[in-house]
Amino acid sequence: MPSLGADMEAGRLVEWLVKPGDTVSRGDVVAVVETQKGAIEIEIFEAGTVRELTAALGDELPVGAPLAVVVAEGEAAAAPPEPAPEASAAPRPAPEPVVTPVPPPAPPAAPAPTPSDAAPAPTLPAAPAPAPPDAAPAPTPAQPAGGLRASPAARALAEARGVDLSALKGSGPGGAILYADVEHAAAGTPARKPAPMAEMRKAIAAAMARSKRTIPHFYMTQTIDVELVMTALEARNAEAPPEGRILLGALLVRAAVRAARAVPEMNGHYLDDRGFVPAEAVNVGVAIALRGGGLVAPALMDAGAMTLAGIMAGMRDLVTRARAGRLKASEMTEGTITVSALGETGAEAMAGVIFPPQVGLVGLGAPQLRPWVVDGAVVPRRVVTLTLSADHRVSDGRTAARFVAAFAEQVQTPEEP
Amino acid sequence: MTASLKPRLDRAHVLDLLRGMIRIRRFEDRCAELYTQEKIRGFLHLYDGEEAIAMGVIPVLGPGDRVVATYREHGHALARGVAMGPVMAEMYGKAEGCSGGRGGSMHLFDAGTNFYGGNAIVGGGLPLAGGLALADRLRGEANVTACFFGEGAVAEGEFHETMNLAALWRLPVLFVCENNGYAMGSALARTEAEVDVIDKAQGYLVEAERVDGMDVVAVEAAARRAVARIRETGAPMLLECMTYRFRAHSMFDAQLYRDKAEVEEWRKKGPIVRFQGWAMAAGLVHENDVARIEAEIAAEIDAAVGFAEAGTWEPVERLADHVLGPQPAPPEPAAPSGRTVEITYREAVKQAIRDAMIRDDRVFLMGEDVGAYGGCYAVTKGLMVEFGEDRIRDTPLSESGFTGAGIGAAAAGLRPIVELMTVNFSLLALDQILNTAATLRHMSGGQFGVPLVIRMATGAGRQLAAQHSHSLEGWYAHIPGLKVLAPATVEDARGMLWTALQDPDPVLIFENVMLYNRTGMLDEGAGPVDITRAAVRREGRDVTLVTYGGSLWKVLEAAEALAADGIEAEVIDLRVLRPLDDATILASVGKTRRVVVVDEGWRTGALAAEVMARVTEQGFWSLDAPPARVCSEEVPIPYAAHLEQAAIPQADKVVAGVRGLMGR
Ligand SMILES: Cc1ncc(C[n+]2csc(CCOP(=O)(O)OP(=O)(O)O)c2C)c(N)n1
Repeated sequence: MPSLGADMEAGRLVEWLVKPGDTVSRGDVVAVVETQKGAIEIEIFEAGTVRELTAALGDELPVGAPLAVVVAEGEAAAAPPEPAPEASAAPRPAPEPVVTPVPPPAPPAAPAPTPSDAAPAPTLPAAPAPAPPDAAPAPTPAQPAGGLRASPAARALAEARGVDLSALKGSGPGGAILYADVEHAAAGTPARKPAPMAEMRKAIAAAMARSKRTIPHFYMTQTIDVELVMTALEARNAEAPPEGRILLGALLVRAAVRAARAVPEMNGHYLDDRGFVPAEAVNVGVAIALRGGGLVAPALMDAGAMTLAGIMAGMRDLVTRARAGRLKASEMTEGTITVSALGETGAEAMAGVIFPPQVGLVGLGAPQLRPWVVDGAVVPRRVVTLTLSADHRVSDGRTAARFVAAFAEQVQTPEEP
Repeated sequence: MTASLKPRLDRAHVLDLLRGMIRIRRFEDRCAELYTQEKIRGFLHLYDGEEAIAMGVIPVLGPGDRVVATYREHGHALARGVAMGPVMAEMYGKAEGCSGGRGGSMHLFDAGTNFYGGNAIVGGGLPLAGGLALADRLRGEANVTACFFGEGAVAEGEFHETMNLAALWRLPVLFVCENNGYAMGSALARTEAEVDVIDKAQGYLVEAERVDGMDVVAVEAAARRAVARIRETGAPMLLECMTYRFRAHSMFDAQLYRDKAEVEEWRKKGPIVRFQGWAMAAGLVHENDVARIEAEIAAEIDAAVGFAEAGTWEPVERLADHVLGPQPAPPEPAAPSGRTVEITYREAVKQAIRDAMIRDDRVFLMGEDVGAYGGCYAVTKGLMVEFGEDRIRDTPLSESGFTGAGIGAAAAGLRPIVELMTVNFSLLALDQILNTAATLRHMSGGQFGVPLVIRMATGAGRQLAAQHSHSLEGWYAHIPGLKVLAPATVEDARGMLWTALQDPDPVLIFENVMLYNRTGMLDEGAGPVDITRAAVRREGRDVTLVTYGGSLWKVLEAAEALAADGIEAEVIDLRVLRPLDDATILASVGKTRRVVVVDEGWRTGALAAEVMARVTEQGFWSLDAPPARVCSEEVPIPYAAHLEQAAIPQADKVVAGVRGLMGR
């Protein structure tokens, strides 16, 4: 099927003007093809004898499809049984060279970072999240939520200077925040630390180094059977709506709170000038990993007065606000003991560094299934390993052992109704 | 070239003619085959049956003569001596093609043989041919321009405009009408009341003759007489060659409009069978001569196909090549003399024209009423007396014809200034401006440039109503291959023209009608200015007002009013509408963070929209407000003064626009 126009893709064969056995010469009209433009006679560019008409009348054939086999003089005897493409009325040419090189397939996308979002997380941040792939568009200033009216220029400047647009009042039409508004607000605040993450790392580094330099840590470990409480928890959660579910983490925090109440030497601050000052309330710090790296440990204030559900809700609230950057100063400074848990999966134990000026840190591994002796028989049980980091200036092995025992007991105490 | 009037039919010449016709025929047979194989794409118009015309006329021309052809021009190119390899490579679209692969079958070009191309606008080649001949006439060179076209073209205005111009100005053009009976599928009698082409030409006092276009000897004899006569008198002639095309109009043509019997009848009278039969009967050509010719041609075609196959595809990175020619360096600003004079814009334009005429004798100006009348806006008053009627040239009311003539004269090396009375009338020349001036360089793969300047008035404000008052410069700014200027100040009115004349490409200069009477202070030593940059006409920090042309002064007035309220506007005069100077605009918007574009074009799709789009694309993060515009209302410009004023941008609208943007 010859191509008769740039927009012709196919044609319908409507008439053969030759039959097998006919001799044809170059330029002869051999067939008629119906196209969008009407019937067009097609000529042949070969000379020879028609051996076979391979296309039937009425066939709709794409450009390049063979219509007939024509054998050149002297070729007849040797003619192959299959229609040779070059003998057809209009051979389709070999594919044209590719003008533009086909780009190599794109590299597979880097796996998305999977931050451990669930709940309380390790004391020390995990390795920084993988950098986004190079192809990512240049960062554009974040869009504050809630249809905030701020001009692009204001947004760009706010991003550069670390100004919170939602805290500003705009002077533009309709209250739109303009460049000048941000400039004005930024003039009051110190020039933004170039990268908040780097600043946080620096702060963590300073606090941890101070802790290890000044606090004589000692550690006490115990592995606790949590099978029964977890089964009870799972049964309870199965009935509850998602927002009413209680994670193991909350149970562990509650146990730490109660142990701290029982062992006041573990709950308070060590101050250089005054020595240990026990705290009245238990403000339990909860270590939270931030998306993109970094770590904070804000306190659940007066957690001793909370129910388990209250603790769970308080932890959810802290996580949300920590990630939104909306923690209160008191939450950051008034913690009295800290719990750092690896969450539902992961390593089995963690010996953490105490947040000064606190004197104890409860490190909790993720639950593990282990062979366990219960009533003289070895059975599979889920267990959690507690590692208490304690400040030897304030407590000793006996105090720590009391805390560990109190913790273990609390963990295994079934939930109040 | 001194050609004897009669063909000398010796054996050598007869063999040349026969070979030339067979060569075209076989080349095109191969093209048809390659088309079906998709090696050649687009339209393919074959000359099959008409070969005697190209072979009868073109070899009679000398090397300095020029050829303008149509989209059915393979035969003309080959007859003119464009090598077959590059012609075939062009059909393939290869970089080695005679137009660098930019033109294809319909746009074969070759500067080396003065082959000004395949023109695919029916009738579009005639004004171009007139202009090439005008250049020869003005330079006193005895060249002839042969212009080929089909009988379908005689219905086009460009045919009539060019007949008149050629006769009026005695332009040495040999018009060759190849009358094959059908324009696509319409026979002449279906489309014309007067079917006699000769009569039409003679109506314009162009001498004309009808010849049997199937008889190569008759065509050659007529061409020899005509060329000799044109060289002698300088006046144009027309040959109507009666012929027939054996194949379809183009490949995709079911030929519903004619009988097979008719085609067969004509085939018997075909130029090759007929000439070959005669020559063999006369004993001038023998069987083995024909065999040898066929063999040689087959080998040449094979080699041409091989050349095309082996050719390369132009790298896509070079896509934008051949849109504009090599860009000249901007002129050095003239050192201020320290003495300034007050001068009108009109006078500044006039001085610029005078200065150009004096500095370069290739410069001439033509347009309607530029001479005896002194110019519609009196810009050229007195210049005809000073420079003569040849160089300050009154034209008939033939916008397409004389704009095309300007294009041809520019392509032939002159530096014409074409004046169109107003932008509304320029629409009658739009074909020439867009399809020829803006594309010739590109279609020819960079071989032919059009260093032409077209000036025209634009804008409303003189109560001239809807057919004299529009601002269409933004349309022209859409077209690649053009440069578009809008001088708003007396410095620019004085200085842009000379720089535009140095540019290798067509430059359009828009003069707002409200500016002609405006006065400004001009340095006595003022000279050429750059045509690449926008200018900051007023500095400010709060908002950028981008404008051009007649609106500049209203915008400056608005800026003063705003300043009284403590809003400092920066005013940018675009000066150059194509290509836009993004850098100057964005630098200003980066500073002020707000932009209002003021443009006398209608709001929808005006140049203002393009400026806003660029600001948004490139300057989004520096914006404190959405880009805004003040444009003309969407009405044809009305006559009544108050309505006219209400239709176009005014200072108070600009002030209101800025206040809206700033919430003040
Ligand atoms: C201005 C314009 N209108 C219409 C066409 C479409 N068109 C291409 S060729 C053609 C017929 C022209 O006939 P004629 O001038 O007799 O030349 P021929 O094709 O017969 O050689 C037409 C209408 C065109 N290319 N340009």
